[in-house]
Amino acid sequence: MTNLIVSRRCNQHCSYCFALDQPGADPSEDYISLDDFDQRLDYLDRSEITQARFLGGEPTLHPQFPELVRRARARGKTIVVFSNGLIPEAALNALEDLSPAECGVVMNCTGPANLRKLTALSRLGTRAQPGCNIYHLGQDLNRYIPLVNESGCKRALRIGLAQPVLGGKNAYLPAKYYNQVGDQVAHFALHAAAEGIKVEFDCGFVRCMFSPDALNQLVEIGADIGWHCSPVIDVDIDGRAFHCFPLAKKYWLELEPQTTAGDLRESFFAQTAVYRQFGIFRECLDCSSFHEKSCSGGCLANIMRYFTIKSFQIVL
Amino acid sequence: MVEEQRGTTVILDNLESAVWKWFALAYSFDDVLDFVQAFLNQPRETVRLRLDEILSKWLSLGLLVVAGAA
Repeated sequence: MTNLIVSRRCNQHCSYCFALDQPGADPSEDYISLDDFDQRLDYLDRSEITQARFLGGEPTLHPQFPELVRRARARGKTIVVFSNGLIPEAALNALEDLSPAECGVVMNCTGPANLRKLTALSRLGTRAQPGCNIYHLGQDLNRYIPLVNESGCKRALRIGLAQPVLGGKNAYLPAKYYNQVGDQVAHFALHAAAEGIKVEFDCGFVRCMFSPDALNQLVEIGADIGWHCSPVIDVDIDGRAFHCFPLAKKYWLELEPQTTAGDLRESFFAQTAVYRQFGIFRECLDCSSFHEKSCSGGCLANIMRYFTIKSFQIVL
Repeated sequence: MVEEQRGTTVILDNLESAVWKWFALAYSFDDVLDFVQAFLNQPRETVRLRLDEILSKWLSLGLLVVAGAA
């Protein structure tokens, strides 16, 4: 998979956001050009990727968003959009024109309830599902159940843990709170399952944040948890491909005319291999799940924070 | 500690971790000697030998290089 960044502009300002918020001096650089987008589609074709995943900023702010969708559909791609839900009318219409089989929207609904988001979720129906990012203790997850019930969207919720951006200053959930959040998430997932809502987990979760009982219950309800750090590559509008947003400032490669997603993943795995020997906790080194590779030990960006490289001189 | 160019990793625990941080904070060798002496509560010459041992280990692991060396 690969996410295509089509807009650096966003109409929200979330403290935990790990997307690069670096609009160029020239406003035209905030959005991908149609020619460059065609090149991204070429990249997806030669990588045999059937999804066109739109990322931002807020991707639907692209002034030619309907045309981007049309071009991706013309290549037979399924459309996936990661949106904050504050979607311009033209973009919303373009998405409504597609069937749920042709299009999926993951709508970030973290934060206070918003009528505009609820309306977009309702209009998109089963094309859309809400998502939330946990970035501090005490976030109320139960409020997403009525949101799903009332909007008539897909009966699923995607949960992510906000991770630190290397070299950035975003808000994120420190690993010391993982156990508390694990209890809360597991309890919520069971509650949601009882309501017929599936909880999907983003990357960065670790097994030890859940009690053994909670882990068994999550397995029983068919929770799909990303225990592995297997990067979904992001490609920025300037043609830089990076491992993922949290590591964007450290690991990136230019997208060359022949590059495939497989090439990029191989390079990024090689570059990060040295850090993959560790986990977010000291205990990972003695953990059987970590050694058996059934748990990657958490987000690499979180792990790498412990390895701040400082150059210094010792004068004897 | 990760030495990225060689792809090696070293775990610095306890005293070694503290010594690394003190040097990274630009304390002089003599300052660090004082800190380690306070930390270990041992005679200065014993502490100097311990510090020499740590620096030699870091040199052999490639975490430190001698300035001007090829």
